[in-house]
Amino acid sequence: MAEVRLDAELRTETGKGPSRRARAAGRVPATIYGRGMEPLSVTIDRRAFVTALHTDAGVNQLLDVHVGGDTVLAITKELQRDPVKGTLLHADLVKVDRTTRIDVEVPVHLVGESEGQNQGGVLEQQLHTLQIRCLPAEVPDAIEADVGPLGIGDTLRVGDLRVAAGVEVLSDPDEVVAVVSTPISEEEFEALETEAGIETGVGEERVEEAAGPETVGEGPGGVPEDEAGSDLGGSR
Amino acid sequence: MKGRAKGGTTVNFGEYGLMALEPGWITNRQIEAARIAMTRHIRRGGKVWINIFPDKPVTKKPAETRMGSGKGNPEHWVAVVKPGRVMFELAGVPEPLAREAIRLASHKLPIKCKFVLREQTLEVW
Repeated sequence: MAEVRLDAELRTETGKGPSRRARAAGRVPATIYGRGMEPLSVTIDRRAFVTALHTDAGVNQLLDVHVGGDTVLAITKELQRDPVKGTLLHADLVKVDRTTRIDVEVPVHLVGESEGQNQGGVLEQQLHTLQIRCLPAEVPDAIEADVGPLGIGDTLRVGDLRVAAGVEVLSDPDEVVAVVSTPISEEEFEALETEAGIETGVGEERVEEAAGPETVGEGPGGVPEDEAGSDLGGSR
Repeated sequence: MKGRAKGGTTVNFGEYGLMALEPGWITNRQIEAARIAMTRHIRRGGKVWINIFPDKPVTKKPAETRMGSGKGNPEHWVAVVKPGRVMFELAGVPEPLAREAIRLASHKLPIKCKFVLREQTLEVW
């Protein structure tokens, strides 16, 4: 995997005010940390950073961060994004060593069409990322899982996945990656439609138990005000 | 209601999702109506997840009642939703069918929403 060069500027001010000003100026506040170095607070050009993260490697792209005359080989540890717009708000970059293996999360892509799907089954992907350990330069873009031989009711587990040499899978080998489930019958579908999917659970009975407040036009004990001769209205 | 959703902003279980673009209170009836609209459209096959739960009781005084005499009775339950929250997820159906199912579901809700793909909720710009 080729590294992407990123130029970062050291920032002396931290906190929400300076961070907001940096974002408004088209830069992303970031922190670089790792073994054998003091954490650095920096800002990186947002456009360049986003372009670097849109390669095939995605967020696992190796970055050559040039900061203050030094170069740090880093990988993205965490990204903060605006949940609606998706704009990058902050990044955590962790320093990596070319000879030390790192733990990363890579996406799992299902390949092919399963036999079960041809027979009317529904393919469900239950695991979308896999935890692996390997050298920074050997991080695969994605792990491909062949679902071709899966029939209805069959399951593909982490242990069945094929990974390149030098890549150690950390996820539980028994964890389910994909399953071809039987489509629900018409009766089950109707039952699903009629069932109350959302039940408020707690407190339902309390609504019924609670005594209703006094209503206008009705005196205490449920007797209409006119008949009870309420003195609120004065002489009639 | 202030701010954006802090959690539940990505599609975690399915392939498609319905994201809130406005803050609001979603009642249990609205959630149920949206779920039914979705499942009726996708028919068999496909799976629906509901990521919000109405755990906040809302009280109301009965009609034509004088003020005072304490707080009203619990009337219904709502889920508090902020912009960015993925409220429903869907999987196991082709994208055009999912889009239509989610569009129908969004019309049952009192807030503006949008259809999102799993990758879109992780992408940065």
